This record gives sequence, structure tokens and C-alpha cells, in this order.
Amino acid sequence: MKISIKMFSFAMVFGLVICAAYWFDTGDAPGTVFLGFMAIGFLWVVLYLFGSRKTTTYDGDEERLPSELAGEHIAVVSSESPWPILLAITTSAFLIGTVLHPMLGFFAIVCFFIVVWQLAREST
Amino acid sequence: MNAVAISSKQRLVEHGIISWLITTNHKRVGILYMVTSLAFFGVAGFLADVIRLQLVQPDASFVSPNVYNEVFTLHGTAMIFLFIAPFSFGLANYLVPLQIGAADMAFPRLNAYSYWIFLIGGVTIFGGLGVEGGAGNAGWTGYAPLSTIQTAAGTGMDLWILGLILVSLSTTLTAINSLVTILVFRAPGMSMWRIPVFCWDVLVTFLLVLMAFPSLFVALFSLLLERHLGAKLFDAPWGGDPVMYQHLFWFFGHPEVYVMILPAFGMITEIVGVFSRKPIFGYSGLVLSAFGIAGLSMSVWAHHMFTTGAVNDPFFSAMSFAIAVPTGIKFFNWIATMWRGEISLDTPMLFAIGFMLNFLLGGVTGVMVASPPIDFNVEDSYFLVSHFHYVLGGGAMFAIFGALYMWWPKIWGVKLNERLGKLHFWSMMIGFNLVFFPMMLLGVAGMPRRVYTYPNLPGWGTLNFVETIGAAIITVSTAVFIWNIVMSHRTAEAQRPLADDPWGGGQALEWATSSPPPEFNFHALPPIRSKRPAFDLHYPEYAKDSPK
Repeated sequence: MKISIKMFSFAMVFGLVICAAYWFDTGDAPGTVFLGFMAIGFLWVVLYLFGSRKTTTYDGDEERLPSELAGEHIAVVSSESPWPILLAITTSAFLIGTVLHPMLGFFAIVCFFIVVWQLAREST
Repeated sequence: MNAVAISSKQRLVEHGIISWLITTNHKRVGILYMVTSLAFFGVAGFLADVIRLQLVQPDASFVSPNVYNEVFTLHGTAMIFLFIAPFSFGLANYLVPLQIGAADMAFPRLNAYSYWIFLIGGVTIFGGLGVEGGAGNAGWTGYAPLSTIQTAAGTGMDLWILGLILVSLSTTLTAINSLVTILVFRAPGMSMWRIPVFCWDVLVTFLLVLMAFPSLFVALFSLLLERHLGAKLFDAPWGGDPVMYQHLFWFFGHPEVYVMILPAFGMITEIVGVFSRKPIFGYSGLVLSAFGIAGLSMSVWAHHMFTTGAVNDPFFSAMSFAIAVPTGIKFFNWIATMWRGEISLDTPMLFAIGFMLNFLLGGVTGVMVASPPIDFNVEDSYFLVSHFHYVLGGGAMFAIFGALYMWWPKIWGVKLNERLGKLHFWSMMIGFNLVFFPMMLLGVAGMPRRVYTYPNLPGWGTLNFVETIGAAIITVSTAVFIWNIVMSHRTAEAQRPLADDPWGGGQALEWATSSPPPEFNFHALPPIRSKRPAFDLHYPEYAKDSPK
């Protein structure tokens, strides 16, 4: 956790420094906004990590734990599901349909929500 | 009868094509990514051959001008968006959970979803070939106004844009998944400063994706608004700005170069360590230099736009020069890892050395074009084409082949034939340099890129002919690789069971499990007490020397 906070903090500081340097050197607003977004994005991550640092622990940070315990909490997940491919088909059909064929887009968005509903049922 | 039917249906679900359609296992999804991206590589390579045939001699007309535009657009798009980057994501999908001791990715179903929209996106891009007006033909950058409705009215351009949106969505979701996996799902003992350098490079790559790809989304959606709702965002007479598209595209586009090359750096680091039989030199230097490269790569986008006259040249030039420093650190560390190592020149190591030589040339020419006075002279010439092919072809592609040879035994339980592997390497190295070194000379002589044909100026015909011979050699070389796969798998039974670490110097955790690994990766994890747990497991007498 500590290293994640440090990593994102350094990235945020870098974003701020480069943003300020760019603004003072060029006075170019669009570029400064691009770089500013980069710093703000990292700030958001840092704030989230900082806020959750006391309630979150990662197995990997515990150097003395026996490694035989690894992966227990995710190995219960099934390695098969029909919904991701169906969701991908409906997402693509929605996007392509919206631009090229609105009826296809409408049909796809209905199917999309059905698939999301099934996926949510499977997840619970 | 009914029982037999149920049984064969069951078999199809468990082992057949259906099992691949519904899989969420990270190894299978990784294989799907890699196989798909290699298929796109084959198609893009064929398109490259078409380009070379068209340019084999002055004033040739092997294909029509419009088809030529479609061909080079699809070649660039496929190589960048559908081969180099997705192959790395596939390898990361396969390796990262193994290397950090996890059972799967953090979000397995999101992982499968990401793959399928990548595949559909790729097919959509090529779908333009089947519609009236042909595929997108505005180059892989899709510059406005070349890609606006006035100049590219066909549905093919729409499909190019929509396909790229899907591929970009896939990449962004993969980034989120991989970042969470690396940060959260490490095995006990696998602290951040113990994860393999490949994982660090993947982590930095996906941070770059999260920062850079939103800009591509904005550019592509803006193009759609421009094309279908008459937004005039890039139309100067209406107050729009075509240079804004370039800003949006390159704010994504330059980091994208590092999205492709950083995982390649990680592959090379792993290969050099294993085949030098030494701990990797300068672990923290390699990690910090990846961050340095990533940070700087976000601040150099406008060096692609020097000749527009609309950007601050000194700022972007200085930042571009600066990238050479962390990249140099990586080179220094690879050479130091090899220094006094017990180097074995197996095929993966040959590809790694080939990578270093080619990438060095690509990097040095990159520093040259970061200088505006040089850039103004060679902009839009074949010099630039040669430069970025030395980076992405001679660099990333060589790393990918090296990685394929190194991890093939882990993935399939079969070692590829060494003699054919070496033939593959040498023919690829010779073919590659026959194509792209003359290209550099042509660029300096002033031959512009993206041209359908060219005049018969002194030397141009000869150099272009040599390039086409080189392209043919690369094609034969790729056929040797395919032949190697076929032959090696024919003799697979003789190799089985393959050792956990068939190379004998494996360091990261994937070499501590069977080849291929079980469904959830490990039957039992070894203790992770250093940066090279597999090496400690196989050579306990040297464990005390392993970097902690």
C-alpha cells in the first residue's frame, strides 16, 4: 500500500511540475489542460489510496506470511462464463448500430441490458 | 443415442471450441490475445508485402492508388493497434498472475470481455474492405481533414473509427484489470520490490494507457461528431482547428509508442537475466527508468508536430532528448547483466541481442529527429518510416519473437526447435535491415513517405528494389517460424514431461510451476524470499546470493 501511495504521489507531482513548466514556457492553454488532467487523475488515486490505507492490507506486502496461502480468495471464481462474449457482441453492435444503423443500435442496447442483468445474477 | 449426444456436447464445452468461447481463465485469454494478434501480424505483414511490391520500381502500378492508401492505412493500424500492443497484453495476461503468484486476474470476466471487444474491433477495422468505397484510407493516424466526411465519405472510414474505439475500450479495461491484479493480488512474500521487472514494465505501461487513451477516445468521438452531426470541430473556415486533432491524437500517440515498447523492455530484461545466468543488474534502476520514460513520454507529444509551426519547439525538443537518459539506463543494465554472465546464445537471447542492436539505431535516429532543424528536413520522408520501424519492428517485434521462444515451453509444454529458431532469427535480422536501412538512405535523399509511386531518380529504384528483396526474406523468415511451430509440436511427445524450468536459469515464479501450468497456476507456491524465487527453489545452495 505504501509503495502504491508513493508511486502515484510521485506521478502526480511530476504531472504538476511538467504542467507548470509547460504553462510558463509556452502559455499554451490546451496543452496545459491535458497535462493538468494527468496530475488531477493521479491526485484522485492518491486521495483514494490515502483514505483507505488503514482498512486495506495486501498479502504481497506481508513478507513473512507463508506463501502457500496465496490465491485462496480468488481461486473460487469459475473459469468459464458465456456472458463476457455476449456482452462484447452487444456492446459492439450498440456502438456500430448507433452510428450506422439505429435499429441495430436499439436492438443491441436492449440485449446489452439483458446480458448485464444475467452477468449480475451470475456474479451474485 | 441421447447419452452419446450429451457426452459429445459435454466434450465440446469442456475441451472444444465452446470452451474457448466461454473461458475466463487468464492463461487461455492470454493465448487468445496472442494467437489473434499474431494472425493480425500475418495480415499486416501481407499488406506490407503489397506496399513493397507497389514500390519495387519507379512508376509501378501493381495496385491502384486508392487501394494503396487503404493498404498502408490498414498495415499501420493493424501492426500498432492489433499486433504489437495486444500481443504484449496477451503475454501480460498469461504471465503476470504466474509471476506474482496469483490464481487469475483480478476480474476474470472483464478480462474475457476485453479480449472479445478487441477481436470484434479488429474485425470491424478490416470490415471496411467489404463495403462500398473501401476501408479507411487516411493513414494510421486518421488525420482530419483526411478522415472527415468531405474527403472520406465511405462507411469504411466509420468502421475504422468504430473499430479503434472498441480496441481502445478493450485496452483501457485490460489496463484497469492488470493494475489491480499487480497491486492487490500478489502472493504473500511477493512485495512490490520483488515482482519481476516485466510486471513493473506492464504496470507502468497500463498507467500510461489510463493517462493517454482518453485523448484518443476524444479524438475518435470528435471525428464521429464531425462526420455524422456536422460538428466542424476540425474545419478552419467554421472556426474549427485541424491542428487540434493532431494534439489530441499525439497526446495519445506518443505514449502509445511506449505502451508498445515498455512491455518489450520487460521481456528483454527477463530474457537477458535467464540466458546470462545472473541476477538482473540494477533492478531499481530498471524500474525507476520505466517510470522516467513513462513520465517524459507524456510530455513530448508535439514533437510530431514541429512542422505545423503551431507548437513550442524548444520545450518538446528538450523533453524528447531527455527520454534518451532513462532508456540509456535500461541499455546499461542489460549489458551489465550480461557482463561476466554465463551467456548461452539460445534463440531468445539472439532475439534479445538483435533487439538491442536494432532499437539502438531506432533510438539514436529518434534523438536526431527530436532536433527541430533535422526534423524539418526529414519530416514526412522515409527517414521517419525507417526510424519508427527500427523502434517498433526491430525493437518490439524482435522482443515479441524472443518472448515467444522463451515462454513457448511454459505455455505449451513444448520447446521450439533451436536450429529452425536460429534460422528464423538470422533471416529476420538480415531481411529487416535490408528493408529499413536503405529506407533511411532514401529518406535522407528526400523520398517522401505515403507516396503511391516515385520518379526514377538516381539510386531510388535500386534501393527500393533491395527493400522489396528484404521484405521477401522477412516473409520467408516468418514462414520458418510457422514451420518451426508445426515441426516442434509434431515431436512434442518426445519432450514430455517438460521440466518446470526448461532453460535451467529461470528466476521468476512462473518457472516454479509445471509446463504448462495447472488451471489455477500452482499446486503449491514455493517460499518467496527474494527477487528470484524459482531460482532459489531449484538451486537452494545459491539462494543466499539472490537479491532480496
